Amino acid sequence: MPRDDEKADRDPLALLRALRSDMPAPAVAARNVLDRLLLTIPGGASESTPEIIREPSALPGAGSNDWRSGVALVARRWTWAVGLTLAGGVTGGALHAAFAPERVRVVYVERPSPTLPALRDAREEARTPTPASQSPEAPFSPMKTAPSTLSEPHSPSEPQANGSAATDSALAKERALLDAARRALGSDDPTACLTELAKHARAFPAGNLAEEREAMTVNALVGVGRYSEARQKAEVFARRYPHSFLAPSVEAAIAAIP
Amino acid sequence: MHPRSVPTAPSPPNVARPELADIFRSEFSYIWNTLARLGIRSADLEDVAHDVFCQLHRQLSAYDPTRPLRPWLFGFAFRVASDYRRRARNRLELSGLDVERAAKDPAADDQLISAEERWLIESALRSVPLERRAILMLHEIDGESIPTIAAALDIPLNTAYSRLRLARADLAAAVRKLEAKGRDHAPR
Repeated sequence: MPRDDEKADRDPLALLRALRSDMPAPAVAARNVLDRLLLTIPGGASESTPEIIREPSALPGAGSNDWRSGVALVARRWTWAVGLTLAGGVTGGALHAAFAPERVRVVYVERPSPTLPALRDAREEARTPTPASQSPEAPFSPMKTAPSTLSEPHSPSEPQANGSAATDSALAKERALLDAARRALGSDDPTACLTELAKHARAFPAGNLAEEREAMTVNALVGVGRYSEARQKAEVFARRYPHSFLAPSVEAAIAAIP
Repeated sequence: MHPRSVPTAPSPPNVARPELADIFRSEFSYIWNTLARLGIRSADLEDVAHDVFCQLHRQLSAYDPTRPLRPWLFGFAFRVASDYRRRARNRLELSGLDVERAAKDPAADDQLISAEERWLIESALRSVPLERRAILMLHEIDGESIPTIAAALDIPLNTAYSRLRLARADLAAAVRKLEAKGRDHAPR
């Protein structure tokens, strides 16, 4: 606030023009928004399943984002469930898990249907099918066709093979570890974040979410003041993932080093 | 949300349309800052930014790459922000939170404008009615022409000029008011 008369003649428009629109947004915020987009958009990028059109997060009066994402996922899974039901020639009653025929049940194991348990942890489960977006070979590119590893489960006539269940399980574990790390970082506890990231690195040194882990590591290292390591990690990250969607987060973290 | 139709034009085949990932990478901070200046509370910025990018994803095919990107992006941010404000629970802006955000912003160290001046102008800007504020932001901060702004916001040209004139007056009055308030509370 101005405290003296000599500042009273400042030109408001000159002050306004001095504002830059491109001040860097918080790196954590960019990562969180990106995470949500990865959750909602990959399915929507597929021409056959434009779920993003029905994604309710943009509807007026919608509640928290987690709730909205959960509803979007439920809608998506209902689409699959209905498609599978039609393709398999089973009746509508087969949607109920207790009476579902074998084929439907197998699919529910792979991609849980929108039952109450699924609702309870919809966001967690939803993160499972997003590894392709983390892969350096397949950077997030929602306007192209959906990554094949994502689009295959969307096909109502092609239930997943059992082998992918193990993959999904591993991905879920990876995601859980990174979620813990992200929560720690979001709680302003970069030390705990690094601990969780180290767990992930030990368990999944070349995991599908290694890119996300490395990006978060840079942020956490900056948070604990290990700037030199952070810069080194950032350089390695840029070389290893030159087209990473997480690059802005890494760059912002490095830029924030005093 | 029911976005207005975005003006479209057939784009030349040799002009590449940016992908959402590119836009996110290069313009996330722009969207973020724009939403903050449009009155989105700090606690809601992530949700609203997510909504903007969802909207962008849906409408990206309508973007004419021969036209400037930022006014087009601003249109989305403005419409999402308008919907946000229409929700009863969000009608009151918690300017205190935003002022704190602005004051703590590392960019406040930039020599073009001091932290105190940034606080002053950001606070004054938030007092300008939203529709006028949008014109002011696009013209004075982003440097866009009024015809471009009118097209981006889907409003008549004369309306855009009129709103700009009124917005400038609003801003000047708000700055005077804040400065006077500051002097009244200054230590004697």
